Amino acid sequence: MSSVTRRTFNKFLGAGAGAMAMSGILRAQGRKNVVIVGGGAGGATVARHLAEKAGGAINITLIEDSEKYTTCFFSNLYLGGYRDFASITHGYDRLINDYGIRKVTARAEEIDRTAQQVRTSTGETIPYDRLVLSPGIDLIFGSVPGYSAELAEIAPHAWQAGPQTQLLKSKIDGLKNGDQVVMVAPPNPYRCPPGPYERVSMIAHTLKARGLTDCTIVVLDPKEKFSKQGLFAEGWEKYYPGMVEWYGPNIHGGIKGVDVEAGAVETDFDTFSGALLNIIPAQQAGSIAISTGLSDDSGFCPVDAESMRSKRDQNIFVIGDASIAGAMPKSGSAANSQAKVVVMHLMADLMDTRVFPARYLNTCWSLVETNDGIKVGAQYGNVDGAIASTSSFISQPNESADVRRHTFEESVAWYDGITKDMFG
Amino acid sequence: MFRVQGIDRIWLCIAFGIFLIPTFSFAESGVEKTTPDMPLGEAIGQVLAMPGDADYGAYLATECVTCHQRQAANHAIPVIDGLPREYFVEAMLEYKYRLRDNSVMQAIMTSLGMEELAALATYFSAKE
Repeated sequence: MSSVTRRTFNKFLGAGAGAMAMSGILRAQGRKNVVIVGGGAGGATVARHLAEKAGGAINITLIEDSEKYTTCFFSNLYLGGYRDFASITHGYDRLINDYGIRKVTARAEEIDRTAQQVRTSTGETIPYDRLVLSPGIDLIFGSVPGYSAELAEIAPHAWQAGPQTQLLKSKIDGLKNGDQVVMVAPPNPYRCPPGPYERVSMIAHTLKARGLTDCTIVVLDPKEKFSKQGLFAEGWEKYYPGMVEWYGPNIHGGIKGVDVEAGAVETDFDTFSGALLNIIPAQQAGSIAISTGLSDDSGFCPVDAESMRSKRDQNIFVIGDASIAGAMPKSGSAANSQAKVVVMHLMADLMDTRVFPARYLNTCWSLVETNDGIKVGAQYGNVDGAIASTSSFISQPNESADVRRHTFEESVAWYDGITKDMFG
Repeated sequence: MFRVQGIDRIWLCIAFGIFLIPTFSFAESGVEKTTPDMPLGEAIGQVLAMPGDADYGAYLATECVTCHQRQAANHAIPVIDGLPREYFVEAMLEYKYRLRDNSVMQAIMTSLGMEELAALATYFSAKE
């Protein structure tokens, strides 16, 4: 608000007390508004870190339709019996009470980029100076012919954590010796590259622990190869001999579709029947990002490598699974890292603070069997306008039991760390 | 775990001076800013001589604190708030030179330049 305008206001009010009251209102109105859509690894991290940096100078609104958030990462450990559901479920109380963040429990229905406001499913209209979209993924159910959102109640995907994860767990617990599990793995790009294969390990672990070693887990994969393949193959052979069968497209010839009622997945090569089907379909950016016009033909959102700012709108940042973040995988760890870059740019945009070169990091932890953890990860930077890896690491085959146990312990510490980083 | 502390430092500097250290690859992408073909002792001295930009350190540290939380009791990942500058720089460069044995930290340090390390050391040493 310019001084001329303020003087005009004061003159209009014509009283000292009134002028003082008005200047107080002007100050409150002068505070910038940041609205964050999605309260997961990307959105919650932005909310908490921005609140810490801005110290009340920015109004922060977090729009997330669940009351409590179940992390997709470590949900396989719940399936394996290593964690209970409560331990992977987190509330927003500290973000609300300790950090002064306004949590709106609703869906973001529509974003008006011209008026710079978000309309929620509860009918509220929330204005923004800067918007952060971290809506995660939407599943493209039709990518596996015969599958649908309704049929996911029988053949769960469990690729968005919550009731689906609990449903899959109860179905795993109901398996009998000799039963077959059929997983349809997703095509690239998808959330959590090693996730399907850690899940296979965790299902095998629980079956083996119950003595159900005549069970088999068949993975029908649309991909020729997958993340940490050598390490998973080594672990399956070592711990679960004869229990896991993985088929790539050069063997099954293509996944034709699923008959959920009949418990069968049809491929070019054969039909695979299972007492339990776990269908993980293809994925795209959360629908709000697409309906706002921020995605490209890939179904994900192009962003500036230096800031995670949408290439379609300077006032909007897109992070996490919904974004096209160059060489970075879609993971909670990546989203958390991207959030830090976004906070720096939000502060620079709104509070005129300094900007430094963006740095990103990702680590994907997987558990193969009790105390046998493996990891893959990398550092990333802006290399000629694209997010590219600058250094990387991966667990090695035949590592000692000590190294693998330490990697598992590190992963548990990482989980405690990142969830505190997100939720305070 | 090959850990290096105190007096071993001198010994190692000599050893690595002889063997012309980095046989591993730095600078995979051109982002790497350090000149790691100097002996470790010299690298430590160089970083400690830099003042370290605390604002830059505060930004860079946001990456560290995902894992290195303050309330990290009973963790496989240590608390790094308040570490003395000298110790911090020495430990981080030991990761960079592959003398400390954690692949996550080695990868992080491979992509971190001297200026960035000085900034982080200034930031974390000032933290309670």
